[in-house]
Amino acid sequence: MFATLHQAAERHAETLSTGGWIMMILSIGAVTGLVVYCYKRILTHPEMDEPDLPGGLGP
Amino acid sequence: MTNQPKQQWGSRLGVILAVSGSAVGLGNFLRFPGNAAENGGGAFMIPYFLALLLLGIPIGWAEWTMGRYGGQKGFHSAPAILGVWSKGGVGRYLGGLGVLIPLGVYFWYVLVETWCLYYVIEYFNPFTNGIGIDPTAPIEEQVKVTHAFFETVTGAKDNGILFSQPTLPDGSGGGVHKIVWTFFLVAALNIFFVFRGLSKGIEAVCKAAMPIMAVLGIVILVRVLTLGTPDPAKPEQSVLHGLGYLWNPQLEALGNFKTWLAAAGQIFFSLSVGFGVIINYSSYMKKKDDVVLSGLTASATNEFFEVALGGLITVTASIVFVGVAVTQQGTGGTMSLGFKTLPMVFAQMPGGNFFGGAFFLILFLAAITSSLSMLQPTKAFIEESLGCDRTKSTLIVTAWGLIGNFFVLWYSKNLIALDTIDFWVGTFFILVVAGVQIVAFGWIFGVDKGIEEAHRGANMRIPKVFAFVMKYVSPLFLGIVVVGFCINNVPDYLATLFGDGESAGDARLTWLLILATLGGITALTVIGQKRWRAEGLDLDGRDPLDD
Repeated sequence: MFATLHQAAERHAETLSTGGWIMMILSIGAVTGLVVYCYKRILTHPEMDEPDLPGGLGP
Repeated sequence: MTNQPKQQWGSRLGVILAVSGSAVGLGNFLRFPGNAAENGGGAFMIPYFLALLLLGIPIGWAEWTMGRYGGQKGFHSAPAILGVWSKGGVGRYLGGLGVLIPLGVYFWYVLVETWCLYYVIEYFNPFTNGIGIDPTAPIEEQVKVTHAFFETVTGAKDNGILFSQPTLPDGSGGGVHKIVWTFFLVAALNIFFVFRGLSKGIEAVCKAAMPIMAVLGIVILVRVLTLGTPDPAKPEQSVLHGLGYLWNPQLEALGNFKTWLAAAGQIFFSLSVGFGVIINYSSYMKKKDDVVLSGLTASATNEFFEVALGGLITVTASIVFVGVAVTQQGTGGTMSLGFKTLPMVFAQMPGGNFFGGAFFLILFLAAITSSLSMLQPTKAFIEESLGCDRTKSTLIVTAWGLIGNFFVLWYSKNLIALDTIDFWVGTFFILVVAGVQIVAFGWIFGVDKGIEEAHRGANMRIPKVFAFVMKYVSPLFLGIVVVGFCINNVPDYLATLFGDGESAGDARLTWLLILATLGGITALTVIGQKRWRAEGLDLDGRDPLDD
């Protein structure tokens, strides 16, 4: 988690390029689209409510 | 078997939010943007999404399926469930790592959670000005203040310093640092919610915390994206420059193996696969509860927090207020960006105390939904290996957790204890457990049988190509990640451990703690194994489930 890989190349400030816009919109669009699709299916799909196995080793 | 009522999730949304809450942590907001910025910017997203498709989602599906199947056999802990899936004792004992990981990470994670709450209190306290940074001072002075504050709060200066603060010349100070009392509050919250059980404790917290985090995240995001160029004299410190720093693709980075390794590592550790939590959480599901769509939804939720919020807020705000040079110092590590660089950003932002408090509140909520998930697997393991009830298991896991917490609190110098546990337990062993899981799923249990089990009650089908991915691609990809990870990181840690530097002693003591914890887990597995066999349970997974 905190152990990270480093590439210490020096960076300079550049405004968002066309390539940057494309990568940002595609990436954020992909994860937002996926999360909306998943929750829409979860919330519109009826949840099964059947009894399960009783007991178990723990509580 | 005991006559205790079986615990279950209150709803499908509840288990999804609980798994998502476990996965969404500090790494989403701090580690991801730093990692992306340092490893190719927008180009980083290509290996990142490939790793999500070939590693994160398939192993996640395997873990959800294994957990639910194990639950139907009467088991809720990684050792027992992996014994079932690998049809023998080897998987069971390796599964002990699936208890060590959440417990070991809990040893230090609660302390980071405590730092987050401490920062929240400082920012929302009307009698203090955040953490005391003067925004008009030169940036070098601000760096000194924020570093000194972090060093004091974490006790990084010396071992035991949090319990014995130096007395100031005016006679004030001394005694125990306030952060220790904050720690007690955080630990008590964790224990309280875990004791309340799955539905009333963990699920209830995650159902409240996840939407709050999303709303606060969006509020801060809107604020950051509307900052424009606060200082016209510094046109290179604008929102578009901040976004450019993170998202402009440096395609040449794709030719560097480290970029691919960093992307796979980010996906892997962010989704919490192989952590021992998903396998435990899904074991409380019913036989025909969906695991395919639920697993995908939990992964998607984590990705939304990571890419859409983490990818837009932290580094952008940092570039706008402190520029590239200071930001680059912070992106080298999760804690550096979060606890040292961002406080300087909030000091200069209009309404900075509010936004700083809100940001660290998000981190605190992200941390507590994760830390709760770290106690539950150990609690379940104690219950099923010793056959004890919820009260006794909570007492044991509380004591065990506190021993580890106090160890890390005391051995705070340079955060060596924290870092040692994080690297070996919270990083290296996760790769091992994930490897055991995907091999057990794809090769021992059988990938076709495994996917058939996943499809029981599923709301969507796993695409056929994933049978090939789960059997061949994921294990191979994981193997490459393990080798690359070891080559890049293990030598330094071994040098620290076996060297004669000032950190060696603390690293060795930390390893004693890890080995003692693993020894305790192994002993409990031996005891549990005898119990499970005596109960006539199918602990080697030879019998199919009854339909």
